[in-house]
Amino acid sequence: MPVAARTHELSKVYTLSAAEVVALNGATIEVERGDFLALMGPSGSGKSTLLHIIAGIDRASSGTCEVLGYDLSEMGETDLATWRNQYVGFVFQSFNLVPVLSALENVELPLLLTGLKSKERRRQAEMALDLVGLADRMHHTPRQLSGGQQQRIAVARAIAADPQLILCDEPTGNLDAQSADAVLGMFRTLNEKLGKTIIMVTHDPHAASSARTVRYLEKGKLLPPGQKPQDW
Amino acid sequence: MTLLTYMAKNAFGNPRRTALTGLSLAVSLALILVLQTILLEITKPTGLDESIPRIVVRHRTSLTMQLPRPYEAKLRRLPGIVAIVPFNWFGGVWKDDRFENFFPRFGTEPEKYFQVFVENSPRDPAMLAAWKATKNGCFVGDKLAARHGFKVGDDLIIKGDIYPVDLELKVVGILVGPKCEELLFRLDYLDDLLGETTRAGTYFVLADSGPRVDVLLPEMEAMFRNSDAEVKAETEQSFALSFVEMLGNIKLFINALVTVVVIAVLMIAASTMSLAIRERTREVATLKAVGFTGGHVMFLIVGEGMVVSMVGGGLGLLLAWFVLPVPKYFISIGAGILTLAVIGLPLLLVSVLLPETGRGWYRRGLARLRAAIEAYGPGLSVFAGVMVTLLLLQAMPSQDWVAFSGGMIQSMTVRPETMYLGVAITLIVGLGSSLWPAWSASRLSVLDGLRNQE
Repeated sequence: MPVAARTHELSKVYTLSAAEVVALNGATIEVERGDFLALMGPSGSGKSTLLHIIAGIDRASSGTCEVLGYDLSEMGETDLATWRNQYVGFVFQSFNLVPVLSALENVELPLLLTGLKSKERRRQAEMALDLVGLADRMHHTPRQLSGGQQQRIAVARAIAADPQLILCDEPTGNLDAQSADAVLGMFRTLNEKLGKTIIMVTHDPHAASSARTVRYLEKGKLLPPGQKPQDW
Repeated sequence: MTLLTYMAKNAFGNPRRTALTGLSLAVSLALILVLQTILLEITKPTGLDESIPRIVVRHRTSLTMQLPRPYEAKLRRLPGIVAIVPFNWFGGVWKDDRFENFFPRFGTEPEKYFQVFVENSPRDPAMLAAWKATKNGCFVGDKLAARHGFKVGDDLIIKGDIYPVDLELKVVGILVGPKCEELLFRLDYLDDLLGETTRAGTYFVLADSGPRVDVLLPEMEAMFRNSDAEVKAETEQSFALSFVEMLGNIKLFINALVTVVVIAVLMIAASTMSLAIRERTREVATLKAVGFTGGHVMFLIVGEGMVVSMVGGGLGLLLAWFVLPVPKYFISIGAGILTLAVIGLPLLLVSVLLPETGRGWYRRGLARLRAAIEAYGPGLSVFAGVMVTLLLLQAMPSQDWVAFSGGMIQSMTVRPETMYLGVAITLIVGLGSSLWPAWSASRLSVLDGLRNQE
């Protein structure tokens, strides 16, 4: 099975005032293409840091990170941004939709950089909205939508450019149980039907149960498959 | 959607803030254009044709000192001179000394006048013959005639104040040209009244070409050097500017005022823009997370600043373009904006400064007052401004600037160079207000941006 993301001995050390905080401490992982991986662990275990490095929005202090065949540590900021636009979809905990844009325009946002013509962009955005079941809300602004609907719009935005990899940072953290189930159901569909590779950070065991694979982190280290933190 | 739509939607995302910023730019820009138009009207008056190679020769010491009449013949001997005419400022009083009854009165020589002032002509060629035949005949400019209802055959008495004689004139002709605001009478009539040959205040000289003017100016001055009455020779435009110098350094004052206004507007717009971008830190981070580069972010924010400034600047340009040429509109709308500001700004200040401390009825009272000001303040200010404008539009007579200013101002039309200045200021404000926030946002790390709000 080809590999979507591979990290080797990844470390991340932050310097806060005079103190050094080790967020990641030699994390090594391989994520196969087509996998749906949930990264779990207590607060401060380094799961979000690992996700951010895989997304190319943070840089490791040492170690290597290769995603979809690209060595991210070798790439500059502009190349990383272009790479994200082409290959990665991102879903945040707090939706992060642009309030002045309609649902359709929010979904179209990453497509503005793809070189597609206006009609094609719109068609692709409409398809993404249809996929998340919100085609009838395309002209609503985020303020006119519920939290669950906003997160589905965010999912539509993440998949609009047809990325190979979808990264989610606590995507159900701000949702009620029903909305969370709907969003997780969408991830399963994207993974099972469309073959998208998904890496999701969560602290919610119910959300993690939707994933094919679950890996735990503790104190910046990835635990072996199947092993949980001691007090988890 | 396009990037432009995105910029525009963000620019109008907070309509009240955008409207206030845009309006502050619009009003300031209109003020700048008014000041510049006034400055240009003073320094380069309407009707002054710079392509006509005309020279003004006057006393070196002061305009109030006069030149001997034989100078005319000496000057005429210089090569490249087409025609020369003496001019004498009579001053005087017509009817009374009220401002609206003031207009320039010059003594001159009929035939020579039309040889030098080639852009002007008698309304009817026979009028020149009548002037030559009538010693106390006079010509009035067409605009002056229209303002006071002068017509051929009218008798005018101008009481002397500089000279100890009164002119008893008969209108024999109407002067037609781009700037005909004066009354012209025969200098030999004044000579007769005084019983002597008067001196000339100035000589207007028409040269055969523009380059010749540059040669003639030093030659003319050299001709009378070390005489009792040394001369200063200058182009007609420099002569007009010398009046501005007499008013003090008005050019410096107006330019300083314009600079201060531009800096103030720039600071207001920059602070608004910074605030708008700081509030949207998470949005900027999201854009970068979905693939926008620092360059894209910079482009979007500068574009947003340009949208706001172009809306405000466009409004200011339109305001100046349509309102300034008509005194009635200018005064009415200017008074309306002033009323709006006089009522609106203190209300805004009070609503911002009202304390949120205290307890019980005091706290509730303050909250109600604040809510009332926020709810009704803007409407009240706009209503008062509109009412003042409408009342003045009804009350003021429809006059042009010539009539309104008693001939002091020929026109207040915004000239192309002033419009270009307005466009340049609009672009400077748009760019200047957004460059720093755009640069900061372009360097924002995605993580810092996302954490900022979470």
